[in-house]
Amino acid sequence: MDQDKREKQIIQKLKEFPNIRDEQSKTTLYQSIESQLNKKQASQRHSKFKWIIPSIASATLIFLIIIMVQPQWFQNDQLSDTPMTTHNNEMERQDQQMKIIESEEDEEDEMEGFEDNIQGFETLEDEVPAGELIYYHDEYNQFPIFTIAVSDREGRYVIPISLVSTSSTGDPNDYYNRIHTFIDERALGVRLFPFEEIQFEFANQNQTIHMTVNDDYEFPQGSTQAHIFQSSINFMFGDYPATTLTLSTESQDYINLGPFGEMKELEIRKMEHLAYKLYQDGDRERLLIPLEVTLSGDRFYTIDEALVEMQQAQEEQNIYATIPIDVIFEVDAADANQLKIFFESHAEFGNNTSTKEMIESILMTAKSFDFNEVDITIEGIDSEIGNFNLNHPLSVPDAVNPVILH
Amino acid sequence: MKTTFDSLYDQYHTDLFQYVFYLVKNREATEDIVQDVYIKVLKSYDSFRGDSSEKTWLFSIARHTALDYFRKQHRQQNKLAHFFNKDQEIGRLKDQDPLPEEIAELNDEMRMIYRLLDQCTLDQRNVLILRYIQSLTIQETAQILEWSESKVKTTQHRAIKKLQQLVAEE
Repeated sequence: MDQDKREKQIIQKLKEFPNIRDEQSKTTLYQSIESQLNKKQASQRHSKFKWIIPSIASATLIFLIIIMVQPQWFQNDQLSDTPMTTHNNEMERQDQQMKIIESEEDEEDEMEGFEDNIQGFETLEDEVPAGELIYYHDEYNQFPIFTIAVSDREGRYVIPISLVSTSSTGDPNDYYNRIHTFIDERALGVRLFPFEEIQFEFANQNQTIHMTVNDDYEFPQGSTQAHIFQSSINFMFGDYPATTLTLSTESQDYINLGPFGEMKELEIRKMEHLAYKLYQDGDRERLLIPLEVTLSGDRFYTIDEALVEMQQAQEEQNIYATIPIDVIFEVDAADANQLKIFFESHAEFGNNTSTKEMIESILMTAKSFDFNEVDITIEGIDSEIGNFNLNHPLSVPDAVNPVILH
Repeated sequence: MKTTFDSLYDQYHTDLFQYVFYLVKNREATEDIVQDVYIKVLKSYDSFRGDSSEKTWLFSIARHTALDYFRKQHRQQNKLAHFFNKDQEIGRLKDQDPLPEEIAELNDEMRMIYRLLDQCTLDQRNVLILRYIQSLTIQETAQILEWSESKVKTTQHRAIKKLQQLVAEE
């Protein structure tokens, strides 16, 4: 019997599998669901109010102590006003061209008739749509974004990837526990930390993030892996309210994290003051890669330093400059809300991919320095670069290296 | 809430139950997972924006929930493996689930294929169930699995080959 016929037979058999009856009635099922939902609401109400009595008691005690010990405090009216700055970040909405990166199975690449190109991003030379490397929420759809992290092929730097979930519960538990299913390491030319051995649990409105591993878990060897792990945690969870990641195995309240030793918790640090360059392994997809230090290992204290670093390529590491090395530019960072940059004319500038990517990397860099918008002027260039209209300040993006999940 | 549940149940429950059952092959686990799916869906129904169809959204949540079930099961099996110190014991645990009546009534070949589905990867099983047992399109399957259509085709092809090879070896 030939191959095709055998395949068709198997498919036919699969189609003939019977319906399995649900023996539970609709009413019983609904009652169970209703009772579960009520139970959850009740426990939320309970947990919401159980702190009230101790809190009132503590507040009363503190109040009495203050009255007894330091009555003169109340006479002191030299209270200085704290300056408050409200950043009203009106996002400019831009059309996005988005691509999906998918993970492949662990098998070989022989496809026999099903060979399809599953590369995610494309290099565009003539058309320059904005949004391949960055993502803006659109006005009507504020889809949840989950930042996961990979590293470059050499395992030196962490690259954040933003999963934009267009239809889901928006529950981070559903995303951070299957990171490996979203990433195709070969197509992207990246490496993924072995997260599949780790279980993350988000609770208490994401104020608590817990990491659990099996008792026999072994942290990958080498200090590089420890650095990648810590950086990945920072990129992935830095925007959540939790400030630490609590750690445990199934039976112990700590995890042996190799070079870090036995840890009960790990600090989550928001990643700031970064210089975004371009990462591309061979002719694979292009990603923005954030660097924390200069080539000589110094941190960026001002955005000027980061922008100068963005002119330096590290080609042996597949990292490329996004700002031409010989261009002259001026930076005005006096306004904490809006960064102003003026570029003198340069042969590479135009309505092309490299200029668009330069703008995208500048916007992400500016975001990491807490700017809300960037006013970019390029001498000799008309207002439009792709979808960017340089006549107006550009808002910083909502995410970098987006992967749209449908 | 009751109206939303009624509507979802009437339209999709049979398919949802099938999908989860063929994934986990255990009636009690299926009931628990399906119940969890409805709870998640009812809690987040207001935020559903309709970018994919209601059905693919529901199935997508079912897939995540089933994945959680497998993860929990895997952890428990790890504990048992530690206890027994024999990998073979874990393999046998799966086979102890009783066959539902509908499957027990099938002929030998069909029962063999049902059993061999366990030896496919979870991705492959997902595709086989959605594409053939549930008769969903490649596009619908891609949406549920959050993959590209090309990946669905690829996995489908590999899954059929794997199943065919397993049948030949029996």
